[in-house]
Amino acid sequence: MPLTLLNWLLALTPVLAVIVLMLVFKWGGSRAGAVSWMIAAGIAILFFGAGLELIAYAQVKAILLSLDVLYIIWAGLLLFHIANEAGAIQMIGERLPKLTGDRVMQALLIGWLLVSFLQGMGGFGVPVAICAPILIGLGFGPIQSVVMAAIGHGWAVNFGSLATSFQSLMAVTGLPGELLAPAAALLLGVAAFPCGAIVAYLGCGWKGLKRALPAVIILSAVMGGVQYLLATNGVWTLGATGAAIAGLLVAVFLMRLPWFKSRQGDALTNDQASAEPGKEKAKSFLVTVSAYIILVVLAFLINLIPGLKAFLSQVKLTLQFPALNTSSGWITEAGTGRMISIFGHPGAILLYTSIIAYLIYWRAGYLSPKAFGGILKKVGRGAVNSSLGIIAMIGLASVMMHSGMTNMLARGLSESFNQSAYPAIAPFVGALGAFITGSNNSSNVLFAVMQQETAALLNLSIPLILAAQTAGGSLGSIMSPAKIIVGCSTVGLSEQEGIVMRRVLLYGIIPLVIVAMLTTLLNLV
Amino acid sequence: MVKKLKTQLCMDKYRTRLRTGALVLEILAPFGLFLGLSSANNLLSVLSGVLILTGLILMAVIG
Repeated sequence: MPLTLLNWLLALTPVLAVIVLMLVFKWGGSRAGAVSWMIAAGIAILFFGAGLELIAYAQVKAILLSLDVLYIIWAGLLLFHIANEAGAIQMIGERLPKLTGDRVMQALLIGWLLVSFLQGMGGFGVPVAICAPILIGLGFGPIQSVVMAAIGHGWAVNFGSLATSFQSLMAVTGLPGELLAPAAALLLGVAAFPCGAIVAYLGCGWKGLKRALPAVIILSAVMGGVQYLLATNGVWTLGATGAAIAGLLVAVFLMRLPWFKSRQGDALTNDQASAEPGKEKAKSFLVTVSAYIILVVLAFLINLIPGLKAFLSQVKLTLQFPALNTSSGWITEAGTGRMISIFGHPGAILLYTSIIAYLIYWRAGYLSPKAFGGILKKVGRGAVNSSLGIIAMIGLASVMMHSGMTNMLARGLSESFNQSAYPAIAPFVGALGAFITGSNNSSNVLFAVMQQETAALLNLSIPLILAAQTAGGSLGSIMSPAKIIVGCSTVGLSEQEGIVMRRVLLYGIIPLVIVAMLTTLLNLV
Repeated sequence: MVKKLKTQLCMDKYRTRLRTGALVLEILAPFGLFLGLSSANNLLSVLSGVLILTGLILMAVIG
């Protein structure tokens, strides 16, 4: 299909529909996603030559992708509600102010470091869903909390989730990690700084940012440096996790410095003030937070012991799809859909953790015998709306991808810019893919080869442009409706995703612009 | 006032049920669609397709 302005605008219409419905009309993700899906299907059939069979197969592929994500979300919500019922979230919220009375450091600790650490272990909005309630417990507003947690982990997405996005980048481009890692780690390491600075600003305004600036500089240098060392030495799977652990350790040290320790002025929240000290003392901190310790241990064990991973990955759910083509000539090769490893999936790790944590809490007497029903009810209530939104958004992305609309969008962007301008555009292409699909991984699958080819045609550094693609995807994924829906699910903002998205877009664009500028600069060097 | 609240509660209850129904449709119907398409069973394909659309319309209407 020829690239014309009209075709490009038609391909853009479903994305614009999502943005307008969510930002202007303030619709929830599921409603905006469903209407945009219908618009996308209509445009695909009428203008891009997609048949009903193509739309049908695209939807089946979308449900496999959705199940892959929903497995993590449902299990993540289950773990969250079990830990919450046992008092883990409240206890973390009460213990952290004791490390420092400085609210800006509390904001950085949870909204930047802890959320990045959790991104290293899991992903797809779950870190936000876990950290936003903790921030609320510390006295930050619900919308403020979700925005802080979303922006705070943008730099950690690519090398987070055990570097699945980076693995896809290597797989689709056929290039080794050793070649791709340095530029990607550099761009995302630098992006850690604006992410931290924005969290400090959102938490405590300009004054807070000014006070926390030395800490933000030190912590971003440590995290960026550790991530770079791990990624360039072949340990990219633990790039974000290792960096966040180093950041947390250095932060604990920084909080002991008089500059931050003496700041006890800010009032405690209602929750903290009303907490009964006697009652909480009866609970062991270690036992109460054991759910998250088990999660870390199991994630490391299953991902780092090849034999164990291979054993658990024996049962897989997948479907075989035929080749699909539109009448305008866009072809999707035949192949298997998303493969879901029933017992080795990150969702399964969360499920094992939930079961073990429930048993520990039950044995310790932290959960009443009737708690299970209540927990399941809360999971159901939180999961249904988010799940509908995710299914609609992934369905929309799948229809766009299979009808050639996504490719049309990317081609339009890449062919409109010359050699000197393209490095600044490359991160935005990655971000666009992640915004539409809600995933850095999917953005790389969609656009990495196109970016690689464009870089070769324009005689640009291929590793640099691919680094910009995946860094853009990493920072763009935090702005996606699908991720925001998940982030809002645990803080009672299920109907206000549009407002949250507007704020995330407003601040999330800053690290993206910095990455674009850095890519342009590195291209000139 | 009480009547208004009761109506609201009742609507919320049905909305939750409808959302759950839409979710079940959206998850299960695509598998029916896949079976229908791969075995050239037109009836199953059309029925599953209609169910998916019903789920999407429910989502668009109830939010």
